[in-house]
Amino acid sequence: MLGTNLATRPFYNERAVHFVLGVLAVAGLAVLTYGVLRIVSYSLDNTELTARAAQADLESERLSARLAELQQVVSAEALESVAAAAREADTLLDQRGFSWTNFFSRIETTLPPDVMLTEVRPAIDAGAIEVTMGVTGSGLDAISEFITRLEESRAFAGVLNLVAELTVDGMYSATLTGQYLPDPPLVAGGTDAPPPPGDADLDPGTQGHDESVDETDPGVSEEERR
Amino acid sequence: MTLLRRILEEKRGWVTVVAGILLVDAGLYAFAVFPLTNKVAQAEIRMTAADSRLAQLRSAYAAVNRTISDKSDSDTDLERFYAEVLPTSLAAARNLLNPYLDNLAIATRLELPERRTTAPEGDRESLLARIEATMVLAGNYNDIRQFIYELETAAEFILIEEVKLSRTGDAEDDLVLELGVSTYYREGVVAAQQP
Repeated sequence: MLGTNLATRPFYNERAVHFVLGVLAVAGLAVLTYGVLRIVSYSLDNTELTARAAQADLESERLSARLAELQQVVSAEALESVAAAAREADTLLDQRGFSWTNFFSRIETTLPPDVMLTEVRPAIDAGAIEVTMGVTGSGLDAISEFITRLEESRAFAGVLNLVAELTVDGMYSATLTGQYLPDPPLVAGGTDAPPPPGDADLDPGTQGHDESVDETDPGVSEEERR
Repeated sequence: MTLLRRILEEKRGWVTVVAGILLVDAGLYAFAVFPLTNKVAQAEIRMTAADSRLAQLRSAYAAVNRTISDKSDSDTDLERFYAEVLPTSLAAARNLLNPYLDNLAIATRLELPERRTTAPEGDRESLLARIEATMVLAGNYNDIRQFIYELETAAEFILIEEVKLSRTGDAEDDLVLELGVSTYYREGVVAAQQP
């Protein structure tokens, strides 16, 4: 038996070569197939996205046109005009809702015997009520006491005596201003509710007796009136 | 001749086929897949921008619709206020001041020695005109309170602007009330109100 290889060219493992080439061919075909599938998928995606974007653009154009029409119909001037009219109406309703009966009831409970209310002028702005009152009193102390009582009732805040002067008849005339709070906060066991009219009198000479005023009707609360 | 060259030489057919497949793969990715990937990414960006713009427009459209609805509600409320709460005309407003207030003074046992009424005045920006009146009423305190109560609880839209009290004579219960009142009515339509 010959122990020598007599071939002119050495052998190599052809099966291994075929295997490698086969693997490469299969891998190449797989990559090719995957690439084709991705192309198809991307094409479909691209078509769908483009169509959706075009549809969104179309809808946007339609909305833009409609919006422009609406904005022409409802101009800023018209809106401002309605807002101003609504503010004016609200202010008038606030003024109409001011309860003079409750106000006088508050005053009656706080007015010292030697002070008389001579003038009241409320100014209502955005729900805040600023009241200017003219009073006459026998002395400045009495007017100061009235201011103290007003604030202690918590129906008034920030009351100032703007002007005080001696009149020819020896009385003091003063102009007071302050914020009126129709519904002051209640305290436990408090007696903040305005008493029925007739408990006192704005006129110092007749305080404490009031026969003819209907005691139930004028007791309507601020909220009920609104 | 190296072994590799020999294999390539001997398996030229197979090698050519495999190389062709790999070349086609490379070309496919270089000239189709990657450009398409970029195209899809661009389309996504464009669609997102279009969707975002559309969402903004829808939001603005809804806001304008709400505004129109609110304006319509306000218009309705204002019309009701002008028609049902306020006097509807100068004549109706005038009738509130006279004879309504005069009759109310009589009904509450007050004397009316004097009443002054101003001519209607309107604000250029407002639809409303205002009539003011100053009434001088004489009587006792209780009747004055009753008059004010009746006035402020009446359905008629009269605003009490100012109250002045003074005493007359020696009698403590003889009071004079100087009452500033006003009322409003719809005068006309200003140009800005037109849509």
